[in-house]
Amino acid sequence: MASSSVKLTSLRIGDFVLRFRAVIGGILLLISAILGYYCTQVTVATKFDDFFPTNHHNVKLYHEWQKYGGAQTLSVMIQVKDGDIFNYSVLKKIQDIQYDVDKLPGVDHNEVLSLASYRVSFAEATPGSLNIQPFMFPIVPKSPEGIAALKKTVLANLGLISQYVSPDLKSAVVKASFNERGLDYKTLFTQVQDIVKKYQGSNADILIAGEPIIRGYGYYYEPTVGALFLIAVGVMILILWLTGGQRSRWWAPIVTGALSAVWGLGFVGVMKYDFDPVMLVIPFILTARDMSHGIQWQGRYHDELDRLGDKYAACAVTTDLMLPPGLLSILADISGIIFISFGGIPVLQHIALAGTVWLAGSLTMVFIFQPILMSYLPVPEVKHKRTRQPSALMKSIGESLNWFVHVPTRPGTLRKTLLGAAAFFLVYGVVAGVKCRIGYATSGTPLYQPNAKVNQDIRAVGKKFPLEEAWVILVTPPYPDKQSVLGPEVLRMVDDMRAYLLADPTVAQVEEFSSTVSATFNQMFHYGYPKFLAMPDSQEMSGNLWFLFINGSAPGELERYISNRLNDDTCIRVLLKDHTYDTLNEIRERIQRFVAQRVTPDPAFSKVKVLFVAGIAGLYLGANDVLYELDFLNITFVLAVVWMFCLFSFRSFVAAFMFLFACVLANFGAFIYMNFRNIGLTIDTIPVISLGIGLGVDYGIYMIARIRDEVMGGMEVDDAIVLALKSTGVAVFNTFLVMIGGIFPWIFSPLLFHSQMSTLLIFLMGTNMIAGCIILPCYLSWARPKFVFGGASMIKDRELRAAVS
Amino acid sequence: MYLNKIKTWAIAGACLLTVAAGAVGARGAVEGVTRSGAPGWLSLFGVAIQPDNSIFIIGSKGLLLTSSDRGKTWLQRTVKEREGSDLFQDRDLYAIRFSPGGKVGWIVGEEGIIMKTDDDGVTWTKQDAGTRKNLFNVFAVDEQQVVAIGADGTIVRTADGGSHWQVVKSPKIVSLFGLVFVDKNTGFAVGEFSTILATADGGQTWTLSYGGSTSDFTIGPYFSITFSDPQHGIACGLAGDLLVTADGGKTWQVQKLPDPVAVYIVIEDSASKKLWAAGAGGRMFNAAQTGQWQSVDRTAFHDITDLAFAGNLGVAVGLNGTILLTNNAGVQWQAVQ
Repeated sequence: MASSSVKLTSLRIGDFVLRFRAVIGGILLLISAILGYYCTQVTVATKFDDFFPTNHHNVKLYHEWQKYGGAQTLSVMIQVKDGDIFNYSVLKKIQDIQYDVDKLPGVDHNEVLSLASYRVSFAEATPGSLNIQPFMFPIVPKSPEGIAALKKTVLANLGLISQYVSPDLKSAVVKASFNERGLDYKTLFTQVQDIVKKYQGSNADILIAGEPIIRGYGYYYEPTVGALFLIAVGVMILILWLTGGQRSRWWAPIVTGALSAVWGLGFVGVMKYDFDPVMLVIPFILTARDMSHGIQWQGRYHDELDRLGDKYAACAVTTDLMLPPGLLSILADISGIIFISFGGIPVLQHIALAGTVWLAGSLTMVFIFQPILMSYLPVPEVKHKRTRQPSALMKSIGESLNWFVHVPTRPGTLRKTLLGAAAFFLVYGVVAGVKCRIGYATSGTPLYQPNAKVNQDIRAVGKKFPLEEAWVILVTPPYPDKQSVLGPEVLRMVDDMRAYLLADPTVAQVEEFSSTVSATFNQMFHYGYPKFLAMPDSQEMSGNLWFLFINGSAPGELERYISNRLNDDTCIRVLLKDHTYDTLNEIRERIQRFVAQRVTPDPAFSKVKVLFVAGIAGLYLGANDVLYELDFLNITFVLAVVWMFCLFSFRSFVAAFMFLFACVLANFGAFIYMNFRNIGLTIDTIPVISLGIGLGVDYGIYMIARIRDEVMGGMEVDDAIVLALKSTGVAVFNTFLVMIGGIFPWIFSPLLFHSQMSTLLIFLMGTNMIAGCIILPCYLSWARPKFVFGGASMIKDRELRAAVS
Repeated sequence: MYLNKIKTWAIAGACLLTVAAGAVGARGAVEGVTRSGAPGWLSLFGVAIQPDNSIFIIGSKGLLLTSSDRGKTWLQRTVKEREGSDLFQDRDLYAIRFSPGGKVGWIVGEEGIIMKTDDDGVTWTKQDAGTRKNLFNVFAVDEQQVVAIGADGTIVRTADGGSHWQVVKSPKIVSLFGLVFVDKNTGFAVGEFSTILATADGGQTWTLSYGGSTSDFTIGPYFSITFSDPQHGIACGLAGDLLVTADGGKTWQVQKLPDPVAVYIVIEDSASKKLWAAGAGGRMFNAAQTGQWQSVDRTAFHDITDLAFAGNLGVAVGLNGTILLTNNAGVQWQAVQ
């Protein structure tokens, strides 16, 4: 029967590979050596731009209007424990931090702002004059009178200074923007930490927030993550040894895993992609995936070796038998990752392409290089033969397993319950998938644990000073057109927008030229009389106030609001309390409503273009939009590919739909878990989830292929299922153990992202194994579909096999 | 016979009840948003208290806040001063005053806005002021005679409850900010360049009483003026400047507040006979009849724009939605959050 199986196998690639093993092996090793060189060229870095969809309207807007400042902003907050900031020691610290932040690498020197900045000023009306002066530049007041005068000025202008001094006067912040390209997060992070250490005092805490710090913490945790990586690899090897150590070639999957890693990382080096340390979990999954294929291959090789007694024949047969399901499962893996490149988000494109090469490397290494390697190596020996009588416990486990492998073939309540539960889980998973939250669910960053220092700091700073900015850009005719940004009606409309947006509790502040400059200067120009805190009543007055402002403020200060002297564009900065999905969507809808109801119908703004949403909030919104579409596109494509490949491979619609449902059943559980843990689909989580979708389907594929092989070989239906569970099932379980063992240590990562994703992957591996090893066999035994148990062609095939046998 | 009479009375009573219920219903059905204070992003410019202690506050973007429970809850409305939805009602309202009876009142504001109510502030209808200049203040001498003042020497008056508004010539083209009438005929207006205008004919003609030297830009304005009695009056301005008269405006003497801060409103609490002044940075001062001004502990930091008292109830309003309340004639002030 065994020999017939070999002769009748439709693929004879095993013979071909072994015939030209020297040439093929040499070529593969040469490619590995070249890519090995490129592995050394991989740079560990983070490019902020790469995390957002290049072609999204918001991202284009962001780049087009980057002159209004970058999204890379840093906030260094000093918070006093007792009293307020108005004492010399704290005020001096604010000034010193201002100077030190100004020295940070990549900082935009025009965008370092605080109470001590020369650009943060106030206007004061006195009889016959209007004075504009900075709050605390260049000298920090030392005397009690001077400090009291400063405090009085701050209190009188709290609306103006509230971005830099909190209303309770206990905190002050130094804000800085950075040039994005070439920003060295690691150095920046180290230097910011130095600032924290330098100014941290018994009565003053220094807290930091901002995108560069979030990314910088990735480097901070690098040693811990590196240690976890080594532990995870060690655990995988240990499990590999424990499950296959009785064979002398148990380490072969490590070789294939390492070589496919060389291919994947080498490709990253060739393409000059940056390797983000936070994303380390992804290559790890790919390696674990590779090793699991290797284990499957080894399991079947040893089976064939035992059966045939000849290593060449065993290598050839194993190659022929394992390549089709291996190809199918790796294509499913690839389909899981390749489609995430469609969203136009560079970092996902890099992961998709590098992951595809990595998985293609797996295919080559496991199914082509491994037989060549095994053919050169001596026949594996069985090292540890059991001589002892099994203990009572082992007997009991053995009996339980024996009972377990018969569950799918035993008609009755249990099997029906399992199938019913699977149907329920499938529906529940689909519902959870539809409901899945997009974007960030909480303030702070989900990359790190909620109680991590970075998140504690972000929350503390965010309570006092809003951190996220959504920009609305107005493009108008130049001054003195009535519809220019200085036109009184346009100024008024902008102020209306400010009031309308501020009514939303998620909006902390709105900064624009109208209320921040025009109205304030109009008031000051008119003796400070509050009833002039309004838009100028004429074009000329508006121009005069603008002129007064640029002459009284620091160079570049106007450019925060109006980018050029033609006065034909302006930036409205909407400061948000967080960047959660709900907040971002609400603010976009609110702006849309305002434009539709106030701007569009008013002929006074016929030449005014309102562009939104730019700023960092626009980037997050853009990512959310793409992720929402990408998620469903990705799932649809992955399922379509699985369906198509299964249709092709098993030549059966029933088989195709069976695997499709199994895939949905096993993987939509991810959404149940995500809903339960309040995890959203973000730029960081989608690659892992996408990988997970393609990851586990091969358990079922290997299982069904084995059952089908045995039935085609003439075995009885239920016997084939039991045999498959005892042989392939064990290999699947070993694979599962290796993957779980490798993923498990990541649960303890200081990075919440690693922790949540590893838990999610363990969950997915579990559901996939249950689907592949229990639910599908249950279904096969219960429904007895023709593609396994007998269509006309299969019966003919079986008869032919029997005849040959 | 008696039955018929009873029937007639019953029908009449029912009709009256229906009308009364309708009136109550109309008042109760005023559209708006109930809230505990003013939106912090809007400026409050004027306050008035009716005899029944109902508080009316007006502010930027057509804002009208009313409270009938001494400031515990507020109903926020938007006064419809032009065509379009609420988003189009973006003109500022600067002053609100009721006639001595309290039933009829006026609001004035940006671009010559004049709104009138004759149903205790339930409904407001727009009137044609005959000017597009900003009107900063209004004074209702009675239900028929009302005067409003504003930018660039604008003075408008009506003698028929607002059916017709007439633009009155000002002797000085300066912005006028404060207005008071001592009696039906005698009134004063203050403004830029320390100008004080006076009228003796109910606002039909005005003469220069003080200041008004428009060539000297170092001279500050006066923002507000009040009279305790026909003889004693006081005006306030920049840098703690005060101007007092003890002879009904014939002569004026310069005085100073204890702190040199700008003061935008000065009024007399007629119940306690105390003078109150308030202004920049939330600073408040009061003076007993001795004329000795003293600073009041600060409860707000934003500019205060208007003050009103009725019995023990006092309300101060200002920028950034500032509302301060007192229920003990100013002994303690509390900020409404």
